[in-house]
Amino acid sequence: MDSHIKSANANRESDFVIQLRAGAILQFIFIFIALVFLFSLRNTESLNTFSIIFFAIVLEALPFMLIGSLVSGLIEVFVSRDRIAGLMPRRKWLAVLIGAGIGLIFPVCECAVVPVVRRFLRKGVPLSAAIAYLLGGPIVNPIVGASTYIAYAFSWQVMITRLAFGYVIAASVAILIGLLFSKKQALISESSDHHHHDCCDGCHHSDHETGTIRKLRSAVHHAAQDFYDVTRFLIVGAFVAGLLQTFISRQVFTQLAQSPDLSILIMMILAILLNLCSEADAFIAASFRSAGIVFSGQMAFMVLGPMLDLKLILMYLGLFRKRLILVLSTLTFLFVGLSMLILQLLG
Amino acid sequence: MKKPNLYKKIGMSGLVQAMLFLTWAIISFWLFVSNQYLAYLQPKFGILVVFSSVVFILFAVSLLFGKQHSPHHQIGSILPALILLLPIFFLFSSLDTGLGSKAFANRILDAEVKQAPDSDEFGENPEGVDAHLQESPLDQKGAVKHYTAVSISHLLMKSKQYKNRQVKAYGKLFFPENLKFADAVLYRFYITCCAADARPVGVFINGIGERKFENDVWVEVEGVYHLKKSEGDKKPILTLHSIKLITEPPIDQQYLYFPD
Repeated sequence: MDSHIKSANANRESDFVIQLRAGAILQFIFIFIALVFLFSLRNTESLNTFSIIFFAIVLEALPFMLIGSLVSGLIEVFVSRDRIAGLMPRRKWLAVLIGAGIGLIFPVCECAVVPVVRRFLRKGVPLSAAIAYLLGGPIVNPIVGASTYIAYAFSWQVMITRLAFGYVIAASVAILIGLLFSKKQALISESSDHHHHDCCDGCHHSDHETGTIRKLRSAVHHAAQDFYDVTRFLIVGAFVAGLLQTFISRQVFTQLAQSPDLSILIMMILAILLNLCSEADAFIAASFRSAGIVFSGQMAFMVLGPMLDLKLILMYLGLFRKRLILVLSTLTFLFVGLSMLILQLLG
Repeated sequence: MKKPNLYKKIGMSGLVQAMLFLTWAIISFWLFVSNQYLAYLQPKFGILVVFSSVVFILFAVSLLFGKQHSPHHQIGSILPALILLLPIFFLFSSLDTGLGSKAFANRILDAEVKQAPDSDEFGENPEGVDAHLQESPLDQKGAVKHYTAVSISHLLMKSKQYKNRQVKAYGKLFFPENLKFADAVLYRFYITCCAADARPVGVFINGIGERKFENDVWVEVEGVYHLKKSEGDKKPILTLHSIKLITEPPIDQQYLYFPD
């Protein structure tokens, strides 16, 4: 029996070492490509345009990532598992409905939400409720509502339509994910997360540490580790988005969007590729009116972007298993697409 | 009891992370005090840049003086630090420059320059006067007072108000291929949140005659603004009385920012 356990542990450790090596090789390749790109295109307008876009995305996202990491650190230190369990409704579907709309009270953009959700999951929040918050939080919140309202010339209808679709799709996808995956199947194993290796005392500070100052110090320490773990994915995503924005014209997309149905599809692809912040994307969506993109296409852009884009997919790699990321991305894409086709039919 | 030295205490990984956070703290602070952040973000986000700087310092301090790390020398844990440094390398390759005609050509949607919006899209600016032109030496000398200094976004937003009036504006010049009804476009970028969402706003200009300017030079133009109906759209056109090269404005005056 003991030999079986030892052998299983050895296999797990060997898988972990392989994963670490593969991760290190991929990161090394990315750094190498980025530096070759930087030096081979130096003093060209392409590099100038790319550098501005790439750095702008990172600089804008960093404060929100930092806020997310700090919130995550505070949750780790100040909120115990028992307390979270006590706050969550017992019925999972009710937890999902609350999760999808909690951004109205606790607004976060898509960059900040990932570290918070990561911490929630480790603190025992049900997978479906965390997914509902992950997808719904960046849309169903007052800041995004206000920016949509302004971008669409003070239109309540557009704002409400966006928030309503965001809420319903987030809750629907979350319920399905909850049915298809257990938490164990969804999350990457804690052993492959080096944060837990670096930390000396097993991350149970809320149980051991006393005194507010000590706890705050501990929270900042956790926040720093979380930020360090997740932000590299943001940077890879911003790099890819910068490349796409520099080398592919937006007109290519609008020329492809000849029919309303195609418009929806093209605008969804554009939302994934551009990686815009949910607080700014309404202004870009509104600018597509003049290019003849139908309203449902603009709405597809505004609903899908905060739920699914390149940098988010990469950030999910620090949290979820690849199978869950694939299913989550596919379901979100399909739900948004079908919802927008219905919106198109309703006229 | 002798305290372990810093390297032994926090390990290579901890030391690298702390240095990384300190670097970002310094860069963020410098971006704010030098106004360089305005090349990437809108002015209201300045406070967020300062916030980032403060939090990065907190992170670095917590790593340097916090609890002990495992002293492993993991190359795998240092690679993310290199990835987090990449944006800084790219920052220094684009200092003091703004988006130009490449971004203009990529981002412009046909209809955006082919018609005068005259809508709320660009927000309100009751003054409507371009800050850069207000400080222009031309005004101080009082030589061209009959031209109203106006920003391009305001000109588009209040098209009807400026119709057939003498205006002056400044921006970058771009000569699109196959442009039939005008000589060039005078444009600037309009930032809502960050440069990634910057939209080009421009007016067509006529009366340059033979092409004597390069793409992307900064010019100040004076002329009469009008709307010309063509191909089913109202096109904003400035018929020039004069055009002159100006020195590139400092980076904090190159963009237009929401809601101005």
